[in-house]
Amino acid sequence: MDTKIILLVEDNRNDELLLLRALKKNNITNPVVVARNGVEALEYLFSTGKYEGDQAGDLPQLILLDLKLPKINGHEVLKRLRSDARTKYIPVVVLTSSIEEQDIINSYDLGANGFVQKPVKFIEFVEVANKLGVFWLAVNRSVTPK
Amino acid sequence: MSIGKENENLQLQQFEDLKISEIRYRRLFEAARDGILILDLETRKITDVNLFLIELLGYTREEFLGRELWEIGLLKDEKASIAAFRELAENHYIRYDDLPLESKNGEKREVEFVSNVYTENNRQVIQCNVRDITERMKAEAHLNQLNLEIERQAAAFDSLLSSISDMTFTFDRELRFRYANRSVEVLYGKKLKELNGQNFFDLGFPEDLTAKIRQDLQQAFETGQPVKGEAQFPNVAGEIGFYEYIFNPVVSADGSVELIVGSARDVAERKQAEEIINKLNETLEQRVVERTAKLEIANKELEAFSYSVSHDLRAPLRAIDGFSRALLEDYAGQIDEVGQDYLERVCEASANMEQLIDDLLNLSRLSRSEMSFGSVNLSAIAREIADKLHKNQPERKVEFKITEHLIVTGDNRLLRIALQNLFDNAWKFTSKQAQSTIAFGQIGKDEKSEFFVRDDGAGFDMDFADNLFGVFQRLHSEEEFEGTGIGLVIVQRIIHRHGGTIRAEGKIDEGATFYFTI
Repeated sequence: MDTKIILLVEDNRNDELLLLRALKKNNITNPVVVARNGVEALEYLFSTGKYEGDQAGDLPQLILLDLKLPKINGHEVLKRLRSDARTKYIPVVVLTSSIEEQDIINSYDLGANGFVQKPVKFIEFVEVANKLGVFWLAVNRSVTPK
Repeated sequence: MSIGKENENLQLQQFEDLKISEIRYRRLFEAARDGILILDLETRKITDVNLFLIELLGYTREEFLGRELWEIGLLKDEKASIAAFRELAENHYIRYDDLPLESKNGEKREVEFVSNVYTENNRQVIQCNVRDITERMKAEAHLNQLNLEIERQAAAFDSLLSSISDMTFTFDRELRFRYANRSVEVLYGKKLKELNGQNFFDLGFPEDLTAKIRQDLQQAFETGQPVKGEAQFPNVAGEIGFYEYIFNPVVSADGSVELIVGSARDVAERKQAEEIINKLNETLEQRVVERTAKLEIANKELEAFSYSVSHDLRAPLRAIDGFSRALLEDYAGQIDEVGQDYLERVCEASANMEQLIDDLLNLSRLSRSEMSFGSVNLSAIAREIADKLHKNQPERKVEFKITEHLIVTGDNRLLRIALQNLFDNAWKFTSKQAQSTIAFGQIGKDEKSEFFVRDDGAGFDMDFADNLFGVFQRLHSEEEFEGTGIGLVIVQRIIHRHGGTIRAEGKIDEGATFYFTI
């Protein structure tokens, strides 16, 4: 079993379920940690709050980040994790409904590695999940933080 | 020399002198430019008459001599004659200022008739001086008539000038009113007659207000050129008015100026309007800034709304499609065919809705996007679009007739979208035919002339032409021709953003033509 963790930052339970299903459809069995808002995501990454005491080894291989999030939004999460040495190089793919140009620009400015629109059609969603998994979990080589 | 001789000499001398005197008298008498009659007071008979009177009245000397005055029409009758002579005897003087006479041939003569009584060799004689004043009387009558005419005209001018609301007036060199119309009277509360001869600067206006007027009047007198100016001064009620005036000097033949003709207009209302305009102009910029800021806020709100639409409406659709799919995939065994068909329909509907959301977002982006104007070759764009349509569906037989060199000033990107939509439409609505023609051209050549995209496809019922440009309005069913009904709305918005208009003509099964200006 692949132990490369995927951190899914997503507040919508339906989207969470659909993504998990899409991953499953593609036989991507990596553990998926779900953070339902920006605060939770940061707490997980920096082992604070309810993740206090967790090992740094739990850092994800890939972060799938929604932009419109409660408490701290996706862009802010991106900013904070890019400014911290521990999380600076973790691949972050923004996964959102929006295709507003400004959102895309902001995301790249803040250091996103990819920007993917969540398709409405589930068939397409499965396709997207497949490509994301193949590329970021298998093809792509990333820096492991010390 | 003896005394006798001396006397004789003296007498001779006196006789000579008398003769000279007589000659002088006779010369004066005959050459006089007045008629002279000599009469005997007692007999009332004419004893002498001079040439002038003979010529004036047309009687011969003989006809005069020995006659009484009334006999030759100089007095009415004998009775009047006797009365006149009695008066003369008493006063030694009679004067008739205008005695109407008639000449022998009946011509009327106005004369001045002065009679004096003298004593001549112990006889009392009357000398009548008759002056022909016919011409003078005529001239006087003419003058009177002229005067009357002048008065009449002056009155007419006065009522004319007084019927206008502007003040009109004349000033003499001493800056006194020589004429003032009723408006002046209203302003100063003085009767015209009182104003006439009044010095404007004695009317009690504050010196600081009238200084400029005085200066302008003097300038007009000195230069002989009209002077225009503006001044504020109070009316009879003490209200300060704003006046615009002109002083026109009346220049005599010798170049001197004795009179200024002027007019003044109350421009308080106009001044007020000007002030308001100035203020408006001052605040306009401020307001533009404010409005722009508000507009920016509104745009931001619209963006936020679009964002919301994009994000929030998609999420439930994704769930609808995703879980319907999940049911179909994971529970196919438990759902019969009808149920599965229903689920397919749910998925289809959510896909449609996604398209609607995308269309709305596109429309909103089009409306908000900044325009960059430049030269746009519509013909070239049309050709590219046509080529692409052909390439995508090479099996279709569609002939494109595109007029070359149709170039306009506009936003290249937006106009391309508009043409794309019009061509897509034409392509779509000709898809049921084996063969079709799509044309793009321009009617006329000037700037306002319309461009058109014409097809010979399905067409539409003109009764519903108004619906064509409504959001999500469709004139054909989804089964016939697919689409959400946003294309023409987008075209219309782009055309409107270019300040143009768009209209459609069509007939069922005979095609449609879209006309637009840019």
